[in-house]
Amino acid sequence: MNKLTLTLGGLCVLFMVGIFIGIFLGPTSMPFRDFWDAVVFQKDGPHSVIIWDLRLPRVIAAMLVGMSLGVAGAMIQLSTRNPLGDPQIFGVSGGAAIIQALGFAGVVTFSGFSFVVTSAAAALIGSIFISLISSRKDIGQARLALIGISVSAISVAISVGILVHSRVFTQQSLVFISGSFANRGWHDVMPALPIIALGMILAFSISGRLNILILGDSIARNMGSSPETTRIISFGAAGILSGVAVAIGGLIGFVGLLTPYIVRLFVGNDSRVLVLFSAFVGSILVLFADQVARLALMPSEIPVGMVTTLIGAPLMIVIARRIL
Amino acid sequence: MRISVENVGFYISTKPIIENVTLMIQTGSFKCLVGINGSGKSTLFNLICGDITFENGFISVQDDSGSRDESLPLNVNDFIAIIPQHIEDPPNLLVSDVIKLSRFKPDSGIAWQLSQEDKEAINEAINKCDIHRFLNRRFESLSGGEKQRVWLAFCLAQQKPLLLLDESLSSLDFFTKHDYCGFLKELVVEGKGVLLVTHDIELARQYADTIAVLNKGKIVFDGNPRDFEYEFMR
Repeated sequence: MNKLTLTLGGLCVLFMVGIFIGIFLGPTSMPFRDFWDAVVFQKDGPHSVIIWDLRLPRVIAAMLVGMSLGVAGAMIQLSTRNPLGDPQIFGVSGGAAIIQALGFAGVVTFSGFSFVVTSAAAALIGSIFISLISSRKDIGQARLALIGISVSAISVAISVGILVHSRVFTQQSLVFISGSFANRGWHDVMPALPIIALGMILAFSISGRLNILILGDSIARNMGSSPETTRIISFGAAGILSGVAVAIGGLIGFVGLLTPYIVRLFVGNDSRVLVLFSAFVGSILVLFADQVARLALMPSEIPVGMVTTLIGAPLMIVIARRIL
Repeated sequence: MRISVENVGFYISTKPIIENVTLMIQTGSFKCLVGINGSGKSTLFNLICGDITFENGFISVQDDSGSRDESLPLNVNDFIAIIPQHIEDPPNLLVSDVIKLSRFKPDSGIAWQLSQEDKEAINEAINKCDIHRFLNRRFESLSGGEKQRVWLAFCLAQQKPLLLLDESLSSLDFFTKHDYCGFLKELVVEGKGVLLVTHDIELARQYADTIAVLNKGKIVFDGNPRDFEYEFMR
């Protein structure tokens, strides 16, 4: 328990540092006194608008997306026992990517509640499809990952096709393919909240049953927990969460894959704790990645997905050499 | 307490894999199910524990104590603990983590934790199988024999009356096999029922109370070892 408390404390510090950087630093520099006035005393002024209406929603968006991706990755890794579990690798976010592309192309409305719901629903369809495949008895881990990668490749191809066909500007296409939180406001964050809550409730409600699934389908069934049901609910949660994540931030890679490994290093293997801390750690990863994306080459921005990949891929190599 | 398999059949398209099989597993008895590779042993095992569904026949539980309401059908899985043939090593888990899962209750959801009763059951199983030494090791790092001991402790900690073991001897050496079977025999004397699926006929003759022979999906013999020798080994 002590280890958990310590980890939780560390995470809180990281959260505060990340949020502080997110709302204090940026292309428009401000004196600390203005920042203090705006945050603590709620004084109105130009800096107050920048903090409350521009920077804070972006910070929240990054944290929500990180949380969703982290939990989605944990659900997929635990329910398939596959070390490559990730919403993008498993094609779970594919449907949402197509919806996002349609949004850029102007075929569907690009904001609001209905867009988030459509995106989550599209991802849900893909994830249920993959979960049915993964429940087949003779399917190996490598084959499952290959099927997922193929589904993912198809959906990215279709999305890029849509973008090209409707002559979406290169800049926007890049933002979509590598993910970005530029210009995300409250109108993007608010509609996503109920859907994320739904995904999280699903994920936590099934997280206890994921423990027994680690021992294989036969033993899980013998212990009274249907592996197929557990997997469908897990993938459902992963689909909903990654669908919302794509709707807010585009395609952000490596967060879902990496987060559960980092969490495992600190809090052990109980799937309930793993899912909970994946939410925190995923959130922090994307929060900091977005600060790098915003600030590294100020005033221009790097896509945040590029940052997560640049940080995530080498870390993944290190972890793969140590653990797998 | 016994589980009856009655006239069970299982087909892939129209090809019979298991045909008209009748079998009884009961407490206080050590039964071996033998047969050559491809005779349907594992399929029968999977049918009994519900991994696949049979197309005709019945599998039912009877409780001899008579205290239960006969009209309520009992769930087979509440009475059997299983060791399947191929268990992939649970990644990253310590042996103690694995053993703890033996008392997992799916209905307690996210609040699941070990009760005092659970801890006692687990400790008893650990003592019985003598796996103290490797409780804090990673499961993957154990030898084949040690892993089988852990799975056996996993089964015992569930405190179910019947054990179903599928080919759990195949990775063990001569001496370990005999130790293992001797241990199963002790469990049977203490009142458990064991069904061991194996292709090791020698072991079956030496330890089993009854031997069932499966050939091409049918039970061609079911009886005690002496009759078995009379039938097959003259």
